[in-house]
Amino acid sequence: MTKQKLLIVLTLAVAGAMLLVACGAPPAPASEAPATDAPAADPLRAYEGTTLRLALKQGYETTAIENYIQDFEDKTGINVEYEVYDEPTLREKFVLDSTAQTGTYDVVAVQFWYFPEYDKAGWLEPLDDYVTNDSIDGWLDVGEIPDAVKASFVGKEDGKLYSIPVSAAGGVLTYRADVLEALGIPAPVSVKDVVTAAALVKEGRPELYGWIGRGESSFASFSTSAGWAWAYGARVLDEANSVTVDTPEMLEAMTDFVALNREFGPPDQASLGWDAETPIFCADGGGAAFNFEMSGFPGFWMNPANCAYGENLGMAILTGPGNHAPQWFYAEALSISKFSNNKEAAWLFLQWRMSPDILLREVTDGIRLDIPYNAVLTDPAYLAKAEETSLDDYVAMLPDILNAVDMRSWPSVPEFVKVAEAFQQEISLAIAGEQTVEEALAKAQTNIEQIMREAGY
Amino acid sequence: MSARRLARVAATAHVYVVLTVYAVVCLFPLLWMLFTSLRPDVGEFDYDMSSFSATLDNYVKVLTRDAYREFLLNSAIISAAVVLVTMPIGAMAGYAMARFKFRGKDNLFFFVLSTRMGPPVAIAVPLFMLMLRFGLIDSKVGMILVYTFMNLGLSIWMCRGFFEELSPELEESAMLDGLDRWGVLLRVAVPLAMGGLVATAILIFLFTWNEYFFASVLTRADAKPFTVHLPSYFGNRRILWGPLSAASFLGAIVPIGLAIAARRYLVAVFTFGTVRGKR
Amino acid sequence: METARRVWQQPDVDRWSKRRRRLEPLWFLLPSLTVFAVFAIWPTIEAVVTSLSRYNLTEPNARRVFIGLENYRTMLADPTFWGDLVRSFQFVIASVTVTLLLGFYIAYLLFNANRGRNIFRILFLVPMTVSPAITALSFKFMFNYEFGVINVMLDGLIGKKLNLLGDAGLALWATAAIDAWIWTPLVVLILLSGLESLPVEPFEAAALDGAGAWDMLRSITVPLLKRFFLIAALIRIMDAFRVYEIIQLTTAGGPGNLSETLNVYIAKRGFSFFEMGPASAMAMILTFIIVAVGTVFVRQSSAFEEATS
Repeated sequence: MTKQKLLIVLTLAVAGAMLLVACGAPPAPASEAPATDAPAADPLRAYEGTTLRLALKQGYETTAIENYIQDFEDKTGINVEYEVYDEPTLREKFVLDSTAQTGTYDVVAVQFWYFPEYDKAGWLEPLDDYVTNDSIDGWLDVGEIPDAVKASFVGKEDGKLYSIPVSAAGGVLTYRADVLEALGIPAPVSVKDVVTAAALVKEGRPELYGWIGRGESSFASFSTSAGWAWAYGARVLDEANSVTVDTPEMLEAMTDFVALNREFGPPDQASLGWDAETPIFCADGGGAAFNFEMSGFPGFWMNPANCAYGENLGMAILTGPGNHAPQWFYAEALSISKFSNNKEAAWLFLQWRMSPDILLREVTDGIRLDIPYNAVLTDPAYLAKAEETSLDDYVAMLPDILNAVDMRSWPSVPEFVKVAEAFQQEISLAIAGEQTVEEALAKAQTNIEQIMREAGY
Repeated sequence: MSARRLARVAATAHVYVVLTVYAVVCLFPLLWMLFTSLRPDVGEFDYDMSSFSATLDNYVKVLTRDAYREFLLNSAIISAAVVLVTMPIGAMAGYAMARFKFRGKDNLFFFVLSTRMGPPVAIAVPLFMLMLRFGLIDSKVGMILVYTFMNLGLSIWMCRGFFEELSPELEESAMLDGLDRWGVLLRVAVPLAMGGLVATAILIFLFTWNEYFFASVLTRADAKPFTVHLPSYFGNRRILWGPLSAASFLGAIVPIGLAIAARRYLVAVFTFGTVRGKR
Repeated sequence: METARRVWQQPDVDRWSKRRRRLEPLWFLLPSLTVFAVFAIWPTIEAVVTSLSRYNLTEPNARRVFIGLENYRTMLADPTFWGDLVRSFQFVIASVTVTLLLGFYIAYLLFNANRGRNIFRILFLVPMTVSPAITALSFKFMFNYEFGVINVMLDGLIGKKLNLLGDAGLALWATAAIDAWIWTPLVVLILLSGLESLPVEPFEAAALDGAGAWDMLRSITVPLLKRFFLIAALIRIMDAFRVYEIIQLTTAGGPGNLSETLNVYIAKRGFSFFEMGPASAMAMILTFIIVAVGTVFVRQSSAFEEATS
């Protein structure tokens, strides 16, 4: 045998041997088995000794867990290990682990826009039975969470609740009330008013931007444009999941929207995302007059400790030619992985996380005020804190904001990411001046139709 | 001053001015990152120098509240181990390619080189599945193996170059004295090519230390290097530039320190076997 | 010499020794080959098979279904693919050209600097030592139109700002500039070593003939450094096609997809949409392109080697 052949044979033999070993080896164990078989007297300690593994998204939803987890561990004897990632990495990890069914993560943070996808893939554990049979008194009461928020986490086929919402936001216009007052501009009522008002601001206070929003081209910014369109009665997918992008209503909506961004927004608006709004809106020297975003942002801005103009900001729930409010819904929830080996313990954790005690601690520690839990919203400690941080107006408006949420505007399909990217990319190019709104909508219509076709609709 | 003297002064000035400008360009982002990390978190876009007061808050937060120290340690262990594994293996293979003649040598060399040519995304999922089967997800051992694979091509390529440029006479006389090939490699070739080998080792350390993509796919908590932790400084409403800069700066110091410590070797020998040997 | 040659060929002609000797390189190569066998061959086969299949990770009970060349057909008909391919080439050509030219300029100056050469060498290393992810975030911060320090300085100096990451025409080049910033030092190192290894005779002869610095540069230095240029170009090209963090963390391919290169798009299809089939197919094509370009350069350097030895 020639040397070369021998080389190849040997190498393949070694590789083959390794693969045989690998195929024979059992997959890595997911977690330790649950604890004692003696019935626990204290239901809280039923799963003592278990280890729970959480995959969380960084942000204020997670801060409470990071700060208070010791409380949970003390009360239940469960050991909690959590990993905090940015949203794309979190999604990547959850998908890979679920595809391979490793059961590594027991609890996962789920953003509402991925829910249809995860629901269809069957990666989440339905919670209805746990809610009915296993509820701990004094902890989570699912009825206190607004229905509008829970609705985004209800399974399409079986109508069951799959996640416990931790945060929720609706769309709201934030504006510089002091600037409007100084220039004699009335507070906008309709989306059309915003366009005219922005023009007046540009005339009267040229050093300010009339508008700051999200113009970048990823699906994360989809809500800004698609949500705005709902005020005109336009949306990307209708109830039958037909593509309704290239419609007169959408044309009007996006023409106004692109104009707002192009003419009154910063020059690099087409590449600005969520992280660019706060520095500009709160800047000492400059600033912007109008912003349409999810309500989590004004909750941060209206606090003078965070934002130079906190006290001067006003909020408004708009309407539009279509008689709908423009939308910017966002919700994040915690779910139990279908492949977890510690589902009961995980359910205990979910109840703890959204228990009134923990939520009130978040409030008094200044972590956040936008909490989707009715009992907390009327608690005196909550109201006191709102007053203290000048957010009482904000807090008063929160229920209305959530009431204005209209999910008919939203493409709740598993293919959301592809659809949203296809749409937002074209809008972003229009904002950058690379194409007209007509061209953008025509292209988006074609591309999204193809996506839906390939998905079998 | 004579015209020629003037020309020479101008030429020298030209050299040093440009080099200094380029040095500033090279250093500026890092210095700006350091500057940002020493300021309180909220005012990071404020350029008013008069109100600058240095604070170590960001560093304190990063090092104590987050498990950043642990991630830095993971990076250090993995990177060091990768060098310790890749260099000997690569040196052996590089030596074989430099000194032995065998059929298919050029093809094999091209194959080795080609391992650096594929986009990582293509093999990310297969690699994930493979590591899962071996039980190596989120393990330092697993990451060491993966990075060894990723850097082996570079190691072999450079070692081959360095060994090729040694003159064969020394090795031949060593063999006359009774050393076998293996002994020649260890006692003659390696000491002579040490400069280049150290330079290669440093490059491999660098690439492993700074790697992001595979680390984010293949680690979770136990083997997570610091690079994967950086995006978690994107807050909800704005990027937390203060702690992010502190964390970044801490991550950057180690390779810079290493490069400075080993500067004697880095300045030597990226000649890839072109110098002697072939003339 | 006679003795040396005989030693090289090992005088012992016993058949077993001969075979053992021929196997000798095997022992040196075996560990490396094993690593490659496990990590290069199997995942590559998997990737090729996936490129010929339909495999979406987010489908329920996702399984790989063989569909032949369908992914490739769709890819070739996809305008995004071609647009990204063009942008990949634009990015590579821009970044590599800048690094080679600037790298040579700096290396040449450094070679002519009598003092401080070592200090400069260390300082120039810094861009290479920082993680590309960190560098990308730093530049995103610095290039910000409203607040970035670069624009603040530009505004102060010339009263104008540059919409570096948001302008449709500039975004791709801005990311190429970042890539060039990171890797020019590597080219400087390579070319400087080359310069230091050049023999002095040709230069002395040319000087005696009255040649000026520029002439010497053109007709002696650059041709003699050709091999180094080729190696530097090869490394840079291979890496520039595979750039990811630099683009993703600064512009995310925006505005629109005007700074999206093929590798960024592959990552999007594969890790945002989880459509592994199309992602693998495009990755195969990209690999093929890089290998093709790489082959050209390797052939060039071998040919050059042949010619000058």
